[in-house]
Amino acid sequence: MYKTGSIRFHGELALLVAALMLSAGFAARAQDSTGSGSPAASATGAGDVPGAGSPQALFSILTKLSPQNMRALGEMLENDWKDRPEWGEEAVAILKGEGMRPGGGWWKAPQKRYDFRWLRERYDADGDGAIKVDELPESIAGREETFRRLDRDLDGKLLLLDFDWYNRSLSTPRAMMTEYMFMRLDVDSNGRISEEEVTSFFKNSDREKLGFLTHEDLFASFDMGIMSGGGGKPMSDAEVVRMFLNGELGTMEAGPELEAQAPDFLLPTIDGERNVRLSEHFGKRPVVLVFGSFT
Amino acid sequence: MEKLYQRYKDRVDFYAVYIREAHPSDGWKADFNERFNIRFEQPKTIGDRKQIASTCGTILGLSMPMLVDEMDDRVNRLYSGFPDRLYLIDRDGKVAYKGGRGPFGYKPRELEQTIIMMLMDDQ
Repeated sequence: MYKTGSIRFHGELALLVAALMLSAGFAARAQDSTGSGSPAASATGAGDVPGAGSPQALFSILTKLSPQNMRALGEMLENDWKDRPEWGEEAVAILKGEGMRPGGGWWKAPQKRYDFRWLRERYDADGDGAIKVDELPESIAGREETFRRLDRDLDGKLLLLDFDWYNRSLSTPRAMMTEYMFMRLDVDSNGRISEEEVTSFFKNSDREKLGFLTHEDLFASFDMGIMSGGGGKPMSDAEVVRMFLNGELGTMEAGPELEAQAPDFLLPTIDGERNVRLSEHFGKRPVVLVFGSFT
Repeated sequence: MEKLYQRYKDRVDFYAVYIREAHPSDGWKADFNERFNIRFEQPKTIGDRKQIASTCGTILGLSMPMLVDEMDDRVNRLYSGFPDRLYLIDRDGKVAYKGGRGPFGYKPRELEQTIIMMLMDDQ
């Protein structure tokens, strides 16, 4: 039981909210499926009264909470909502104010069968904990080139560092700044910032072509889209809640886990020439799926 | 991603799966998109989505085969693809790599390392 000012919370309240969130989760899925991300639409059209079980219902309740009470609610749910699904992890994180933090909520580490340990178990002939190029089998075509692609920091050795792309808790401003700047500059996502990318950033930021960047130029350029919110303002808790409930932070479903059978599907190609069935590739070739959109 | 595709397409099948827009102009805007005049509304029909996908492919210089998700977002939901995500599926149809949720978890270089090691595993 928590006592906050004149309001007392009970464990039951936490479970009621969990139930509401479940229904909002289903509603968000329904919204997902119609492809509409619009938050303002009210189901009833009767002014402020949201539709039953709609994300708006939960949204209007949650945003009435003070920041402290929202965090307290997050902690209660964290305690009471055992075995919560992945989207529940994100819901709790959002209430606790950690909803957009890489490494928190549902922003989890990738799942991979092949990692540094796999490599080391097979190829660390001299057992020194690092893989050098001559420890890779000669039968590999383009061995040097392959090694370079694995060697993230190009130091001639393969170590755990080369395979760890996961952003841990960005709790310090310094870590956050580094992460944001890296994402902002590494336009081709190759994990390296080239001189061209820095020059390109400068040129794009120098809107008035003055040959230097002003404070405003930099501020305008440091727009990280989903990380900074529209207009360059940091996203308020309410915005994050709204986006989450509308399915705009990510798909509510968790997707297949590592080693699970990849769910089959049949989709048309963009030119409509043919339909591709995923399972037709089984027994033949590995498949890479790249999910995304333009904006 | 295009570079990855060119490098490994002879051994691995790549498919871009075009899903619902992350920042359509009628939803929540991203200033980055506005600045570069990228303004699309969430497509209402599969034909609209195909058109946007096609533009995207052209502008980004993507030559890998592109599939378009149905308007009910079924494959997106199957794979939790939104806003973006990478998967590597092995020859037997099992998930060998599941990238973290985008944008934070979208790491093409990490995928590449996994592809390399998987191909090494085959030999």
